[in-house]
This record gives sequence, C-alpha cells and structure tokens, in this order.
Amino acid sequence: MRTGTARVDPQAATVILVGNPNVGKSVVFGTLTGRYVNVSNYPGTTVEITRGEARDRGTVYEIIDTPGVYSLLPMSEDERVTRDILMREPGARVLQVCDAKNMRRSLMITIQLAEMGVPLVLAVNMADEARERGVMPRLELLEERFGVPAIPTVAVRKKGTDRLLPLMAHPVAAAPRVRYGDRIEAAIDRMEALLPPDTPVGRRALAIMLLCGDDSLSPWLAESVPGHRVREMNEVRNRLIGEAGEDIAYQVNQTRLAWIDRLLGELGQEPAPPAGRDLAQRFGSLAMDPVYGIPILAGVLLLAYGFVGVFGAGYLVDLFEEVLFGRWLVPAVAWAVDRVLPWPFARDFLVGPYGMVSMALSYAIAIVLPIVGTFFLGFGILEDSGYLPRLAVMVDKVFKKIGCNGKAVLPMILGLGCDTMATLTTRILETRKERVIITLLLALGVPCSAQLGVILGMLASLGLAATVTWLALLLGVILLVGYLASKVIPGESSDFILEIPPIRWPQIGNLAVKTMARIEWYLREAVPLFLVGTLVLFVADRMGWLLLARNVAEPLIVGALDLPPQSTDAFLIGFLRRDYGAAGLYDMAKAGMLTNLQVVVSLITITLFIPCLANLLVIIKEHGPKVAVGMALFIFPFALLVGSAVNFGARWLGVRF
Amino acid sequence: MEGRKPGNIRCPLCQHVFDPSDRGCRTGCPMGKSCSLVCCPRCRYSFPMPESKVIDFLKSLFPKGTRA
Repeated sequence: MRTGTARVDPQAATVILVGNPNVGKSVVFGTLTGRYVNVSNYPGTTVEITRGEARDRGTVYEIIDTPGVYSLLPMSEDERVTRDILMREPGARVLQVCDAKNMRRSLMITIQLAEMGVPLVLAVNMADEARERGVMPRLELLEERFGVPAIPTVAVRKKGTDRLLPLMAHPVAAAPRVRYGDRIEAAIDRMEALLPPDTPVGRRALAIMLLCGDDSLSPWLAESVPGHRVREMNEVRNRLIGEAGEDIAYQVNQTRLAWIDRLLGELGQEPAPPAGRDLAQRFGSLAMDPVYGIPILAGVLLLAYGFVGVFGAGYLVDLFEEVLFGRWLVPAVAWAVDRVLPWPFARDFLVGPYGMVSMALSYAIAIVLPIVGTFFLGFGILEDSGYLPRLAVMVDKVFKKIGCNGKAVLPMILGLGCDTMATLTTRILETRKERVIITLLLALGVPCSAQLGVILGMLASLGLAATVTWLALLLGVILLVGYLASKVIPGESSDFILEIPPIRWPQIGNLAVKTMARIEWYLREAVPLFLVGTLVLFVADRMGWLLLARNVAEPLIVGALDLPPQSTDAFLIGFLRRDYGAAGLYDMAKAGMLTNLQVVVSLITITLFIPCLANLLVIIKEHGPKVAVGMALFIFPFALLVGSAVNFGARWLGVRF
Repeated sequence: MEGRKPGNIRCPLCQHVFDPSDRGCRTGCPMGKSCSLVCCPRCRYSFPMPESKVIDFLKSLFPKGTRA
C-alpha cells in the first residue's frame, strides 16, 4: 500500500528500514536516499513515514523508514505501523539497523523478522562505539547463525553503508527458529494450519502474534480469514491459555531473550581494542575524576587559551582589524561617503568614532568574529571528542564534594552555551526559591560562550598570572554563591542523566558544520544588536548624554576601578550583549589605553556585570520585575565591589600582571 | 505533505538523540525570532542546529555524482 504523495518509480524494489529507536536508522536512510525525501502520515495515524529513492547499479529501490520499535508484537501505535508496513508490502526486502552496543535488544526484532520470513540484511550500526567499549559481537558467527549478511556500519561517518544496497539485490530470509516449548509449539502448529495459504508474512510469525493476543490483527483477520476459522483460532488460543497460563506474550519474550543470551554468549566479542584505545578510555575516566580532572581541565584551558587567545585574538584579529577593516573597508567606505554623501553627519554615522562600519561592524566582524570563531571551533572539539560530558560530570562531583547542591551545577554548565536559555532551564527546579537563586547565580558569574571567547582572547595577551587570577576569582564567586545557595535550597540534589561517549577524534566534516552553524547563529543574533548598541552610543554622543554618563560614572569607573572614563562605553554596551562590552575593552587594550592591571580589573567586573538585555527580559518574564530589579541592584554594586577590591588589592600587593 | 524531514540529532552534552522539530528555544526567549538554537529535551543544553547555509552552499557548488 502506498501512502501520501510520494512519487516513486513503480518498478522500484521496496526496502523497509526497521530497527529500535535511536540506532541511527534515519542516518542510514539519509545516507542511502540523499537529503530530500517524502514525508507522509501513515493512514489513520499521526505516525510519520518517510520514503525516499536510492539507486544501485541500475536498480531503483524505494526506501521506507519506519518508526523505531522494540517489538513487532505491537504495544504502541508506532510499533503497529511498522508491523503493518511489513505486512502490507509483499515482496519487500528488509534492512534492519541494529545497535552494535545493544545487540540483545536488536536481536529481539531480528528473531521476529526471521519468523516473518522476510528477505533480510543486518546493518550493525555504531560499530565504532561498540569496538571502543569492547562489546562488538563477532559478526561472521552472527552471519553463520542467521544465514543473512551482517554488515558493520558507522552511519554518521558513512562507513560500511555503501555495502548495504548491493546486498539488497538478492537478500534471503534469516534461518534461525526459536523453540518455545512443547505446548506453545503445538499451538503454533494448530494456528498455522488454520491460516490461509497466502499470508503476507510468514505463517509462524502470524501464529505467534495471534497466540500472544495481538488484537491489532483483527482487521486483517476479518478481511482474510472466514469467520468460523477465526472462532477456531480463538479456541486454540484459549486452550493454550488454559494449559500454559494467561501470559503467553511474556513467555514468548522470555524464551526469545534466553535464546539471544545464549547466542550472544556463543558469538563472543571481537578482540579487545588496541592499547591506544585503552589509553583513550583511561584518559576519559581520569577526566571525570574530581582530583585528576582538575589538572586535565587546566591543560584543556591552556590549549584553548593558546588557540583562541594567541591564534584567534592575536593573528586573526590583526588580520581582520588592521588589514581588512583598517586598510581596506573603512577607508573605502569613507572615500565613498565623501563622494556620495558629503555631509559630516553621514561620515560620522558610518565611519566616525561610533560609526556603523568603524565601530559596529568592526567590533562584530573584525574583533569578535575571529575570536568566537576560534572559540566555537575549540568548543566543538570539546563536544565531539567526548570531553564536555566528562567535564560536566567532574564539575558535578567537585560541587557535591564541597557540599553544593547538584541542581546548582547544571544550569551553570548550560549557561556556557547561552545564559538566557539556561535561565529558562531553571523551570525544571521545584521551588521558586531555587529558581531565583540559580537565576541569580547565572546572571552573576557564568559568561556565555561568545563573551568567554573574547575574554580568553584578552587574557592571552597578558599571561598566565592574569588568567589564573580571573579564573580563581570567578570560580571563587560561583563556588561561594553556589555553596550559600545549597544551604538555602532544601531537598536532594538532582543527578545528571548523561550517556558518556567514548573519547574519540572529532570528524572534520562535523566540526566544520557545527562551527559554521554557531558562527551563523552569532552573526544573525549579534550583528543587529551591535548595530543597535552603536546607534545608541552615536545618539548619546551627539546629544551629550555620553559625556554626562561618563561624568556620573566617573567616581565608580575612574575612582573605584581606576579605568579610563571611555571604558564607561564598554559597560553601557555590555548591557546589550556581554561580548560587545568585552570587545570594547579589547579594543581599548589593543590601542594601549589600558594597563595589564586595568585589563584584569575590567574583565573581572564585566564578567560579573549585569546580565545582557535578553537575559534580563527573561528574568523579568520568569520571576517578575521586582526580582529582576532586585538582582540588578545586587549584581551591579557586587561586580563593582569585586572589581575595585581586585584593583586596590593588587596595588597594595604591588601586583601589575 | 512533501518536504525535507530533518533527521534526529544528538545532544553534544548528554548524547540524547531527539527530533529537533519544535525543540527550538525560541518560545521562551526574546531573541527567539532570529535564533537557531535548539534545546535538548532531556538536559536542556542549547546548541545551534547542526546545519550550515554556508556549507550547504559550498556543497551545492561541488555536487556529488549519482551512485553508480
């Protein structure tokens, strides 16, 4: 039966993809068919079925991706749809995608497909992860036992998937027959004898489904089997229940699982991974350890610091700011403006001190983009190498060791992506008090990814002492507030639910897509705000408000923090986006307007400074204006207090960085 | 209905595999309109959809041949 509006070659052979949920079935489907496919609801359901076309050596295949299932004895609408597709596509070939790490679950379906007698090929997917964990079954023995090809694949890397379509040309049905004991086997025989000769799938499979009480077969029975035969079938089932008990399906499943366990024992596993893998696994374990994890984190930060700070903030920013903008773009725009719009206002608006090109685009493209670009690449490596989940576990353990509530940790790690979204995450916490405290913690001390990138870039030019001071102060504040929060928040800590992937080399293609996706996200979100922020400064400058703001802020900015009055601008625009404020400070530092101590003081202050506009709006939305104003009234003086304490403390100690 | 079905994606933090449609963070955030972040339904980690227009464009310049 065809569904939806799929346009498929009528001569195409049909291949049905079947498998458990989350085994990479859709990735295999995408690899076989390409990107554009047809999606339709299965008739009478909300379940989506995806169809696509694949070609191999002149043969056209219609590929049907079915919903993930745990069994073909349906317990859910998804499972019923998958089973029905198998029954209503006579002559179709089946490609079962298995999870190499969990063959016990996958083989439950293989047994049922074997009983159905459908032509079958097994794609044993995620073979790389199974090998890394040392649980990869020996496929040659699996092929022998089932009599069908079993191909190791890593679908996300397109490994092994090119072998699948050629095998679909002449597939055969799997061989094994699980024996369910004398009583059930006798009932199966009687049930098979009552079934019509031309069943859509193997009679044994149908007989077992009927004995297990599969009501979803009723429409097919009504269509295909005379009424008196259906009554006889019911009698066969009732007699079996009388002999073996009500739970026929349970007994059948238990027999299958015992059979699979024996089989897996006989198959054994591929030889242990090479020593290098052991080393990676050992490193992976140490990275989660609360003691050894800290020096590993320090090493990772050092690498990030070199890559983002030295390469991104040093070499790339010089290239973009001095060459691209300084030598080419700004003079070109100034030249064009002088000729096309020869008014001082237009020149100022575009290339003046608060110009759209000279400041907004220059900050966004020439300063922040190279830094966050390298940072995003580094962050992607941390994600794809499997380090990030380990960092989360290690931080969780450290926090618990010092008595902090686990609930305080999760939003802080999420805040490294986006503080605004992490603030929304606090909804998962149970009480209002919890939500307010964690929101405050986020607004106060967790830099978002873009701001962290710029800060790392600035710190790299100062040296290790400045970085350690910044990091220690920030961690100290977070730990202190986290500890206090854990004392105030009652109840048990909530544990992470993380699947720890193996440590592995990131794939270049994945990294490129991931980094570009983040850069595109940054450009879409940041550039308009940079333009708005610059416009605000431009208008404020023209109206004389900027001077007024600098005069008002002077006792704080100049008196307490000992920063130049112009750094007021950075704190003002930092309210729109934290990375924009940091970029303003970066520009000043690069122009030699800040001493090393001033850089450290300004970075500590702007990291702890009031959250960005989007975050503040979310705080208002989540907790109301009173709480938001209260937080702002705490954070603002607190950030200045810590900044000025560092300033005076360093001067008193004679530290210049 | 005819169109592209986005594949499931894996959360880089907790490894949960989920369908990213309707998982955008946009509903709660004032920056939502232009934001392509998605939130993992299990751990709430936010990250951009692993799709890049630039890379798609570059790929379109060098189309792969059809499978032999």
